[in-house]
Amino acid sequence: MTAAPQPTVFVVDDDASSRRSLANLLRSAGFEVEVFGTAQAYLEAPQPDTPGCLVLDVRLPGMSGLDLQREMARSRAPRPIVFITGHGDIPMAVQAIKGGAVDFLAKPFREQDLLDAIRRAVELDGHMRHARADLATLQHRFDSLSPREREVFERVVAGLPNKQIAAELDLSEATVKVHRGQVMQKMQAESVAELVNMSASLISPARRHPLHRLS
Amino acid sequence: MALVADDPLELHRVVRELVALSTLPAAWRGTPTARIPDGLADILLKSLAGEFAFVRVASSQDGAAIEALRQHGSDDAPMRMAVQQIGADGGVGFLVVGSRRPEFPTEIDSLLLEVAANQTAMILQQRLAEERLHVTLSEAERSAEQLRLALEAGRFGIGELMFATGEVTSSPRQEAIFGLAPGTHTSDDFRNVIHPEDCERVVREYTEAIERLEPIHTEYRIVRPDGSVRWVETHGQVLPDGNGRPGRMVGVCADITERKQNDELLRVALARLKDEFIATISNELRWIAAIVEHSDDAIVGKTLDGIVTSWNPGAERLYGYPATEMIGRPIRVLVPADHSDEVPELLEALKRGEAISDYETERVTKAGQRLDVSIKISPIRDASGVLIGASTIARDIGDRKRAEKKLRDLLEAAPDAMVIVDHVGQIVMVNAQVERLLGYRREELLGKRVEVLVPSARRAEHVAHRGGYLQAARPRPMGAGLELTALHRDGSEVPVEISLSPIEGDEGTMVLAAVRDVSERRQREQQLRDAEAKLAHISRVATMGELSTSIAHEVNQPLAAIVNDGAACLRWLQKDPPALAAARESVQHMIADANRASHVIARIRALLARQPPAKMAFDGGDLVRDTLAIVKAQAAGLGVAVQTQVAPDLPYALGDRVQIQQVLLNLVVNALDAMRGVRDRPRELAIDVARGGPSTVLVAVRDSGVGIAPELRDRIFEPFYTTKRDGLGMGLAISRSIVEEHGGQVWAAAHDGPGVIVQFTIPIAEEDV
Repeated sequence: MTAAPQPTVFVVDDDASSRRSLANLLRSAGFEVEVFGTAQAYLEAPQPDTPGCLVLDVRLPGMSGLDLQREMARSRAPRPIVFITGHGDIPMAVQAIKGGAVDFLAKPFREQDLLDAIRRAVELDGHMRHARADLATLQHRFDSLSPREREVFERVVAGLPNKQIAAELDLSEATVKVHRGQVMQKMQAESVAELVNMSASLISPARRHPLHRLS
Repeated sequence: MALVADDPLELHRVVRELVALSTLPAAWRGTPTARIPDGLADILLKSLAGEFAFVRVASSQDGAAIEALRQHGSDDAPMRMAVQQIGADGGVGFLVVGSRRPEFPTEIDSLLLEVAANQTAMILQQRLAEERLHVTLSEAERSAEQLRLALEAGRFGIGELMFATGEVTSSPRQEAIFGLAPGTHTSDDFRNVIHPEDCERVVREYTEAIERLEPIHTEYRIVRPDGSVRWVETHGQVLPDGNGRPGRMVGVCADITERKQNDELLRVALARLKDEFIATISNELRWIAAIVEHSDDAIVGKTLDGIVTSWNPGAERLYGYPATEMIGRPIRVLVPADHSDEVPELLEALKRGEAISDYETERVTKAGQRLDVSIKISPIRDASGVLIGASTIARDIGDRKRAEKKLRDLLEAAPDAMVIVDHVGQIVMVNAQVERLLGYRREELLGKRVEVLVPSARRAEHVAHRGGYLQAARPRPMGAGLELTALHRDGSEVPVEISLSPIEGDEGTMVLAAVRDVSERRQREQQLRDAEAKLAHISRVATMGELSTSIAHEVNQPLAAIVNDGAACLRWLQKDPPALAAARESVQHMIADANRASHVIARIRALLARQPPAKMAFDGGDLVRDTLAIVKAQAAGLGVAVQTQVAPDLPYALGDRVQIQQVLLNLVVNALDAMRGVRDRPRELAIDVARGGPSTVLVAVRDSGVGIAPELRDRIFEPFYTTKRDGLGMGLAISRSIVEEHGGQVWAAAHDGPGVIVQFTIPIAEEDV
């Protein structure tokens, strides 16, 4: 795991007292804390690419906690979520966990449960950031390919022999070999198998790094 | 030809009128002659039932006419006239009578007219004679010729008898009346024409008058030389000579044949009328006999000792004895043994001349069958008024008795207490349920005024209402809207419900009162009210149950905060060096949140407490804030945007703060529930508190929920009406009862957006009005 800056916990809770006491607890545990009264306020706030997680009250005026979870899932940089609620509500908890929440805690909760959940969330956030960073590197390498090199790339990862690639692209087999060398170099692939993996990540990043709870 | 129709009344009338007319001379004694036409005209109008009468007669003094006119009615309908001369040839005058009766003048009308005219003529002629005689005597100085002329003009004869010579000097009229040739006559000439049957009497009267020097006035028949018989009337005055002996006699005479004929006419007419009257009476008797013969009732005559004297076919049919078997036997053979003591009583009453009606008893037939009969006994008296027996009319009332029994059986079978009251308010029938309900024995009530069953405070009113009911009798409940009570024999009052129905009977309208004991129902109503109060309380608790999630949240929030702050505090203290400021701050927050939790619990307790309504002035804004505090979390959970607006100049409202808060809470919870299913538009709740009117505060709760169909807007306030799957349907009903108890109103309406606005009013506290 790479060394990351101190993670920030974003707390969204409409009850001022609850919000404030959470912040107090998390700060005492060494987290940076930012608090919001509503989901809208959280969404509208400037979003620095800070590592961390979200502690979210399920019941909120206007957009609910679950609504915010759905909204976040669609964003480029979702933060892992720890849900908190004033009252145990099993259907709501199920929905939250299915949506990818790290945990679902009923108030009042044991401090250790909350801190454990937040740590897991932060760890997940680290993984996700890492994956996002890897994908960005790959994309950057892929973007450096010429159009002809991309055509060759697609056919190599599809498993075509050079001779057939040459026939399809109306090139000589020798020319195909040159392009193939360029592709391997630009993509920094050691083997064709590695190149196939890279191709899969580029097509569906979520398939390799889903926002699953780490167990 | 009969003079009159077969109408005893008309006969009576005619006889009465004839008698009246024949007494006219007596009636008019002392009446001035000039007034007689007026009187006559009045009498004619009355006797002949005429509408017009005109009378004209010659004045006795100077021959000038005296007239009288009477006319009734003013329309121009055709009138029939009858004209009648007064006096033999109309010399005295005439009269005209008019009538609109189409048959006028009938034979009776003509008879009455003729009699009236003759009586009038007689009176006037007699007066004329008396006046002339008076003139003769008091004005002796006037010339004999003048006197004679004057008398002749009055159709009177005049004469003078000198006792010394026996010679009579007559005026031509006197000679004409007596049928004597002109010239000097002797008193014998006059005596000779007197009718042989009257002669002796007249001579005796004259002889006595002359001897006593007294005036004479007599009437007699004469036989004229031509053989005709005439009636004359003579007045004479004997004048003494110088020695006090009768010297001469002056006299006036008149032919009164018409008057005498009139009298005869009257006599004959009366005789005929009497015959016809008797004939009519016998007709009536025959009628009565026929009626008795054919009556369905048993009509029996009996002596004062109870021996049967007559026995009609109705009696044969009813009792089974033929007349031949019963006449002469004592009536008591009809009386059952157990009623035998009735007979002496009835006979005693009869001997006192008392009539007995509607005496209901039993009789026994020849075949030994008992009958229910109603008996009417009337005493019979002879012409001199002495009691001679009685007629008994008996009617079989078995059918009626059976009907009554059926009615009584029906009444007995009825679950309610039934009282039948007659048109004067007397109790005529009661059933066993009355005995049970009101503690009276039947016989204590029968014949009593129904008011004995009415509490004394309402008796006068009841009497008035009873009269009013009979004016427009129809089945209806009594005392609509009142809690009626009936008076028990022991003086207690029994809560009842009474319905009234008229029963048409032989003796007027009776009223059937069905009296239902509602004490149990009133008790149940009281229990229901108590139950409702309890339910209201339970509903409050249930409402709280529905809100339990929110309440838990409410209490949980501060508790959770306390736990968080406590954990944080420990961490701050564990740091090296301990972060004391942060720890202190954490503890301060813990204290504040603990207080907050305590307040929440206190508020919930106030809401749940079943306190007696205590009205006090309170602020509408506080009401809204406190209510929203309870549902804030629920509203937030549903994503409902809550807006409140409290008018700045809002006066204090007066009421039970907790109850009113319950109402508002209920409305708010309903509004939130109504928005649960709304997904296509914002969920908005608005609570406005403002002045509703000069003396009310208006609270309005508006939602953007699913709304209520207009036809259901009133129903939602009914108990047990609910649109919620698991609702009890009491929330709004209780809300309404609370608001109405406070003198306010609650109603639901649509507003300009989707959803419903429910509003209620509460009065303003006194000092703010």
